[in-house]
Amino acid sequence: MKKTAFTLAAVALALLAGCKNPPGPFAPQDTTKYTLENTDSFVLMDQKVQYSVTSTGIQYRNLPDGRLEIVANIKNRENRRIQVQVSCVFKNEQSVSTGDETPWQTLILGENTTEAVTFTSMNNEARKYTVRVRQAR
Amino acid sequence: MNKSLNRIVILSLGAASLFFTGCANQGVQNPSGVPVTEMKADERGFVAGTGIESQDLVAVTDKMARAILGIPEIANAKAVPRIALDPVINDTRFAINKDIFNDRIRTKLNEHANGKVRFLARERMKTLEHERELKQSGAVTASSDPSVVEFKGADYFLTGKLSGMSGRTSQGVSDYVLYTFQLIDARTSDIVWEGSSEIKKQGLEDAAYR
Repeated sequence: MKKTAFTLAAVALALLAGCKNPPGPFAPQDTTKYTLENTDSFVLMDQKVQYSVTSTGIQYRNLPDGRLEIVANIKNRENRRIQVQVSCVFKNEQSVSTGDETPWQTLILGENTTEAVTFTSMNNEARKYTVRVRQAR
Repeated sequence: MNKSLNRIVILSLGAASLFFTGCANQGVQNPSGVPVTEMKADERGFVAGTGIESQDLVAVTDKMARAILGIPEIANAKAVPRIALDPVINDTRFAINKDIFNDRIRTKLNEHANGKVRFLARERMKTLEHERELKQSGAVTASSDPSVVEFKGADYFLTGKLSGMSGRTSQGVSDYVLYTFQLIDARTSDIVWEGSSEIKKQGLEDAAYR
């Protein structure tokens, strides 16, 4: 019996020793996966939004003064009123934010409605953009 | 003997599973101690009323700043237009610091508009005049002739108005606020641009402003 108890204790200790966190620093996780926000122009921030909302088209143009104007058609896929928040990040040629980011603004979509949301950059540094939609909070 | 062996096995397994539960990686722990949560200014947060809140301020001022840059008087101006701020009129029932609207529009434009507009520091005129007097009297050095007036006049005035409509029933409180901002030509008094935003909120709680 004593032998069994010792064995069990030894096994538990060995396993617990493996639990200790190794010393840092660590490499970041998922650096090559789930990076849609870096590459796509329209992203939905979670699955519930993905279920309820879609984009039926995005138009963009450069204004005469060099600023970028985006018009995103955002559609409610459900037969009920929903409330989401939208934001746009303006990016340079390398897909890095220019620091010009619109605040999250509330968008109320009626049953099966499509709303056009316009975003305009504040300067002529923007070349690309990402429109983001999330649940209202 | 078998009974006590069973008890040891069960106890060991229980202890091990408890340890392993504690071992699960929980990720970053937020600061604890003081029950205060830091929020982003454009978030509604958990302390919300039906009145004017930071997320409204951020959304409205961002919209106005972007709209100002698009009007022909600014976008096609040959010389950089000078803008002075005129205090916002608050016609709502909410006792808020209304100057924060103009301040945020000015800040956004100064930060991101790459010098497309210039704002005049009219709030600091006393300090600026005092400095000029010191230069004129020779008490301090001057890099140019201090007797020449170099304070710039305004090409445009930026101002705004907050108008409110409120209601209360046994179901709760309802507040509608219309935010309007204007850019006025200082020479002709023409309103060269006007932008508006409207927000309606209904809820049980009425916010108290401090």
